[in-house]
Amino acid sequence: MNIVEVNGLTKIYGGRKAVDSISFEIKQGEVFGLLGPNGAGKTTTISMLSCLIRPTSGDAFIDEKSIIKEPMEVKKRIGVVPQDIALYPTLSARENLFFWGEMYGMSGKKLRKRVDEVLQIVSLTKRSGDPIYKYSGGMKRRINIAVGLLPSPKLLILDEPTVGVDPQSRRNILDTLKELNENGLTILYTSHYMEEVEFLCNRIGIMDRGKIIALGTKDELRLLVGERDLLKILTINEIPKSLAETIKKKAPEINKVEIFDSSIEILTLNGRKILPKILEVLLESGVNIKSVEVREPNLESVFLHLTGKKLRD
Amino acid sequence: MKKIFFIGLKDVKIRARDRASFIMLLAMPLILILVLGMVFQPLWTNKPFTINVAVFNGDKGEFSKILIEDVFGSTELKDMIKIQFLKSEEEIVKEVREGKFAAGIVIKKGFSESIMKGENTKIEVYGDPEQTIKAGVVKNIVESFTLEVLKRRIMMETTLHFLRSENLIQPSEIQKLVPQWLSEIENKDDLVSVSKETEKKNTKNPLAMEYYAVGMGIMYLLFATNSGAETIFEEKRIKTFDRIKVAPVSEREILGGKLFGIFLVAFLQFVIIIIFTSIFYKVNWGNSILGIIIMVLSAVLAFSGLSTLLASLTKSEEQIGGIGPALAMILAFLGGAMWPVFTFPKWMNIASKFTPNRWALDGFFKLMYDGGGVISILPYAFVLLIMASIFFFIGVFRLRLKGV
Repeated sequence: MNIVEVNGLTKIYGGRKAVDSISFEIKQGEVFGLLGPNGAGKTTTISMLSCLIRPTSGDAFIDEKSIIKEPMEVKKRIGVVPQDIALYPTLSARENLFFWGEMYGMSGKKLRKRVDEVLQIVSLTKRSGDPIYKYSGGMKRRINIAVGLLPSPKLLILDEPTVGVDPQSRRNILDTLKELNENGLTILYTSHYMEEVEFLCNRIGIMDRGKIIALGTKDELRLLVGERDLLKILTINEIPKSLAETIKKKAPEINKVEIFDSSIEILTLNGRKILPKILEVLLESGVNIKSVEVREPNLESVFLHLTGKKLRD
Repeated sequence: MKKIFFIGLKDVKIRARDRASFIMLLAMPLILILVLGMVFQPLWTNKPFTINVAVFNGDKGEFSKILIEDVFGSTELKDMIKIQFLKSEEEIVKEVREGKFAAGIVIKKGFSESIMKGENTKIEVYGDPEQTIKAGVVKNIVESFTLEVLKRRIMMETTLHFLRSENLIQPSEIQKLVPQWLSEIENKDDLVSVSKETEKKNTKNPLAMEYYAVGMGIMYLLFATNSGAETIFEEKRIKTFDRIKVAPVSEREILGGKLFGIFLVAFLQFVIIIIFTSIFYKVNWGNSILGIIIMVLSAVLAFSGLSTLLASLTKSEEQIGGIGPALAMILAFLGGAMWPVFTFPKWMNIASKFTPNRWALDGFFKLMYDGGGVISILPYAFVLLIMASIFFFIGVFRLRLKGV
């Protein structure tokens, strides 16, 4: 059963299409990821789905309620974790949670019980009396998520919830979300971190310039790249851009060569086999090599394959 | 409705935790009231202001003479009250209305005779609404005088009734005794003591501390409401506004909650100032609790409306933080919070009527100096509520256009 159905959703700002007629579905109980670089239209999509902004055209249904015709009903069914830490810094975590619970129409014992539950989920019960401004970035992020969980939503929407947190906190957040999903929570997750989406999501929509350019499971998306590998070579000195052509001539089976200041990324079949040829070209050109990495196809290489650019460009 | 209340309450909680807000909204006005009150008190007591009073005396009898010559002409009052006689009641009303006199007293023909005969009579006092304090002083003096006369008349009637009922006096003797008693009652020394009593006990001269308690209290209302209005921009900046919007809360509830928060912060601030100054600075805010409540509510609403309008006309916390204090100072000065409006030139006096400060100050002074009750402050509260309605109407309309 689909809990989210998006049909031709479009948002135009001053003549520019921030989101361009996107359509997708999210099944109940799955984690759906929207992956794309900054400015791809992920936040605008989420803002429309959470009824914060009105689409220019198209519609979406969450639990069969239209975001245009029944926004209040949609809002009752979703929990939203924005990209920014939208909390009151001078209030304690508990006070923040109580306030947001009241905004969802909760009160009394039910609210108290739920606040305790979500504090436990994000492992912050002991520090719940401290004002938010005293929290570390990771702890703030966890309370930000706790607010989204408070109304026991049918769909939890998270917009880049790990931006700016340390690796340990990021791991903690991802593990928490994985566990929530295992307990039946449907999640819509956006990120430009490929690793997070790969770890968490069952199905992924890759966005670029307002459009969904690929959609499917991880394996389905990898097939788009074929069996190609991603070679990443880091160098000590700068690589001349003209080397791209030389490398392609030396190894015609290469699909794509991307040269950055002191790194080079190559998408190719049989990466390990052609690696010596590439190293030879680089060494002959006076480039000092720092490290070499051969990666099997992943979402990063899918994105590179589809757009010709890196996710974090 | 509940959500409006919770949003407002949350704003109060946040303000209460903010040390800078606490200093700005509570400590500063209380310190300013104390400093200004102490610094300017000598000016208020050593140089009592002059009260110009117009009198139409159609009576020419003994009692009106006592009021004018012995009471107003007493050593204690003659330097403060300057009397000028006019020819008719109409002229009094006209001149007072034009602001030429702070108060006008009309003593009708037969006033003294009516008192002698034990009949009902009255003195009419007209006050210039622009000179509330001065008019209040005159009204208090006249009221004290008439009360004193009434007391003595009752004493005389009771005595006569007793003497007649006990046959201790013959009707023929009454004719001789009454004028004699009246003469004693009208003894000048006694009546001068009436005027002394009047000045000492009943007439309330404004004290600098009281004046500035009202003035600064009202001036800082705008600081409080502005700080509330700033939170609209603050919530946008920290993105909590968007988070409320994605919760099942209607736009009306969000805006209502923010406006309620603005109102609540200012209301609590003003109530604390009133209670604090009453206890520690001995400021008498008047005897009508209901009157005080009405004035507080209407003043807070007017300033809440003004801040809402200001928020709708500005684009950021920085803008409102820059314009707000300047506006508060200008309105406070123009409205008479720094110095009494009767010292202003006429054009400033007229301009001051366009400020909520002026109407709030006059309303409170009516309660404090004029012994006024609820009825007396209704015109002031009404004007403040009209101002509040206009400010809110435009402010809310513009804020909704801005998507708040």
